[in-house]
Amino acid sequence: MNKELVNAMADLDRTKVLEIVREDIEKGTDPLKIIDGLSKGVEIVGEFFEKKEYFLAELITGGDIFENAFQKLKPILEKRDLVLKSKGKVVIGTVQGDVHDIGKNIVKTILTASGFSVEDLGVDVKPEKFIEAVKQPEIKILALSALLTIAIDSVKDIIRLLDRENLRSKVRIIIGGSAFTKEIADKLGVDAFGKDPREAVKLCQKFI
Amino acid sequence: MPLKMHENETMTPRERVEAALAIKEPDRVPFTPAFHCAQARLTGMTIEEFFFNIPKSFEAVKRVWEMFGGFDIYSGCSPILGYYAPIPNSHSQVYFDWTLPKGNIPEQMHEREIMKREDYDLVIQNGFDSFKRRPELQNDFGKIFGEFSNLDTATWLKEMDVMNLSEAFIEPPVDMISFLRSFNKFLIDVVEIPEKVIEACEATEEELLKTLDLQFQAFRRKDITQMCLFGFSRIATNFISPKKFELFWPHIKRITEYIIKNDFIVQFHIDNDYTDVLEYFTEFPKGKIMFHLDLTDIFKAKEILGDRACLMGNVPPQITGRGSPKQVEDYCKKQIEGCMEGGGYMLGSSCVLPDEIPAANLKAMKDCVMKYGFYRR
Repeated sequence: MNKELVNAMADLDRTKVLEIVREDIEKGTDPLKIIDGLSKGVEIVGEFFEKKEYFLAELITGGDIFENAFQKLKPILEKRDLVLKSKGKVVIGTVQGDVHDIGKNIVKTILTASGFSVEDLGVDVKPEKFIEAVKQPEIKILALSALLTIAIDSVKDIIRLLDRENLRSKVRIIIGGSAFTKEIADKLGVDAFGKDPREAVKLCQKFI
Repeated sequence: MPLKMHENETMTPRERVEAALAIKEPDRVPFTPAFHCAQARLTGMTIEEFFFNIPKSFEAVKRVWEMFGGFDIYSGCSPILGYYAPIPNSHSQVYFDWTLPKGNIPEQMHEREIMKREDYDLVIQNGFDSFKRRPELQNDFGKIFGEFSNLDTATWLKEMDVMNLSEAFIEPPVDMISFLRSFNKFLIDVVEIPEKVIEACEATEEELLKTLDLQFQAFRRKDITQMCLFGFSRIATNFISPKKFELFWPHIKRITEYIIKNDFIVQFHIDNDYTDVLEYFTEFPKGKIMFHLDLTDIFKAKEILGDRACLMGNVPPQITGRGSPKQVEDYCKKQIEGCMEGGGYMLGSSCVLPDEIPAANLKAMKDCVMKYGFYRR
C-alpha cells in the first residue's frame, strides 16, 4: 500500500492525493490497490473524527477527496472490467414528507468511501419504494434519514409494510438525522440510530 | 387588562421577560415558546392554510392563546413574510429554492450549490446581488407586509402587556454564504480555503448591516425593551472545530456590537451545538445579549454565561412533539430547577415548537412553569 497516498488522504491534502493517483495511474499501478490506499486514508480520517481531532467538516472533505480521486480511477476500472469488491449493499433515502438530503448525502459519501455500495433512492421517498428496493437479494441494510419530526410517521409506515411483506427480518434498519434520537429509534423498533456518519459506517460494518 | 396566568403573579408578562433579560429574578420563570405553525394543528387548520391565510393564522394564534391562558411572549402568526423578504437571508425565495407548505407538510428548502467556489470573488466584489434568482418576489413582499400591518397585533399585545419575541432580524454573511454554497461545499471550503470564506464574510458585512438599519428605523421604540434576532446555524461545533469557529468570531462580534449599539438586545438564535465555544460570548456586557439555544447544553451555558445573558431553549422537539406529557414535565422541571436561580432564564423550545406538538404537551410545559417556576420571596 502506498503510504504516501494514505498519509496525504489522512491529511486531507487534495492536491497531493490527486498527484499521487495520477502518478500511480501513469506507472500502471493496479487501480484496486490505489483504492485500497485511499480507503485506508479515509479510515484514518474517521478515526480522527472519533477522537475529535477532526470534525464533520473534515470528514466531509475526506469523503469528497476520495470521490474526486475515485472519478479518476473509474474509467480504468471500467476499461479493464475490474469490479470493486463491495463490503455490502446499502439502500438509503430520506423518508416521505421530507426533502432534506444533506445528512443522507454525507452518509452515502462516507459509506461509499468506506467500501460499501450504496443505492440512493433520493428524498421524499414513498414507503413502497423502499420495500421494492429491499426485495433485491443482496440488500442487507436499509438506511433512513429525516430532519423533520413529522417524518417519524413515515418510518412507522415503512416498518409496517416490511412486516406485511415478511421482509423485516431480511434487513437491518438504521436511522439518522435531526428528527431522531436513540429513544425514538428504540420506540420505532429499528435496529440502530446513527448519531453521525462515522457511526453509520460502523453500524453497517457491524450488520453486514 | 394585563394578562395574568396565575394568582401568585406580581408582574405582567413584559415586566417578567424584561427582568429575565436583565438577569434579575422575576416573580416566576417566563414561559416563552416560539411557534412556527403549531397553532394550525391545535385549532384544526392545515399548515398550508395557516401559512397562506394571514388573518386566519392570527385568529388561530388568538384561539391558542385563549386555550392555554396565554404565554409570556408573542412569536408571531404565519411565518410567510420571511419567504418573500427582499434582504439576503436563507428563508428568502428571492435567493433560495423553497417548497412552501402543502397540506400539513411544512415549507422546506431544496439546498443546492447556487454559488460555485470560483464565485467567491464575485461575492467579494458585488455582494449577494448576483444571486437573486427571483427578484420579482420582492413586489409581493410589500403586499404581504401590508396584510400583516392590517392585523391589530399591537393593540392586542399592549392590552395584555406582552412583548414580541423579536422585532428585527439578521443572519450573518457566513450563513448566507453557506446556504448559497450548500452545506457540504461550504464545510469543504472552511477546511480548504478558510481565508477566502472569511474575506467574503467581511466584504458582505456592510450589506447585511444595512438591512438592519432599515429595520431599526422602522421598528425602534425608545420606551420599551426590544430584541433583534441574530440567527446562525452553520458554524456550530458539531460541524467545525472550535479553532475554525474562532476564525469567524470577529465577524460575529462586530455584528453583535452593532446591534447593541443600536439599543436592541441581541437574541442569539443559534441552531445546532455551540457548547464548546460559549466562552467567546462572555465578551459582551450583562443584559445586552440573550440566547435561544437549540442543541447547546443550557446547563453549561448557565455556568459560563449565566451572570450576563438570559437563556432559553434546548428543549428538543423529540420531547415536546413525541414525548408523553410526563416526559415533557420531567425534562422541563429539570431545566427550570437547574437554570432559574438568579434570574436570566426563560422556558422555551429548541428553535421552534414542533408543528405536531400535542395540546397536552404544550399544557405540560406551561403547568411545569406554574408548578416549579415561582421564585421565593
